Amino acid sequence: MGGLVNEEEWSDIIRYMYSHEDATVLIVRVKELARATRGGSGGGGGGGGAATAKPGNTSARTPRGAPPPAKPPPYRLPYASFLKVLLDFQLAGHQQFLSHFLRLWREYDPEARGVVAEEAFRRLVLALDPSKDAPLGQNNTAALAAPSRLNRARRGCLGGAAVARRATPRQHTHRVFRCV
Amino acid sequence: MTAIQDEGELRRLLRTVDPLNHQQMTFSDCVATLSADLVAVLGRGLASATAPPQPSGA
Repeated sequence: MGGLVNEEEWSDIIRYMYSHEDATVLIVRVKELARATRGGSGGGGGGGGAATAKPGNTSARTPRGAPPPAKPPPYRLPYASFLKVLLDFQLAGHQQFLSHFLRLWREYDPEARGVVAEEAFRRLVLALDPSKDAPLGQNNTAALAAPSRLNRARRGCLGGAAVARRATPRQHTHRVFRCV
Repeated sequence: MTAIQDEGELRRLLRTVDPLNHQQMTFSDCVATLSADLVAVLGRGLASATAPPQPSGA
């Protein structure tokens, strides 16, 4: 858990788990974090064999040889930091995805009890019904304004099999929840 | 995409979200039960704005 993740590794993970669009965003975020981390900690590898380097797919960097000074510094960061970037991304997706439903929920649970009875549930369901123009037109305006963010939210949210089957363009997206 | 219009569909949802008729449906219960429809709503909205991404072969 305390090891470092090399750029080659984390970028492979991101590209495997996310769509191209999401991966691009995440790679930028991780690079920024790695740069900031490097700035704070100096920049070395941390003297660690704990950097989880797999023998098969790494570049030729032997433990005996000194690190090449001329190369650009690698975007390497602690595993925990990398994980946090992914979790924050997922959380933002959840919040975005649920924002529309949450607004509806608050309408039907005005006392914020956290539970509704059958009648309120029925009205909630009808308000969600896409075939009904009035509530959808009002409540979905904001949601439709940001398709790319919604797209991400749709993929990242709920983790349910139904979601993954019905709307997830990449079937491996829900693995995020298992991995992290 | 299931349009939740008819009483039968509503009853089915009610049986799922509150099988013992406690009349205490939590936010999480509702999200779990309605997640497919939430996705459908968003997907329909997206379809009108941008084409949804296609599954990759990998």
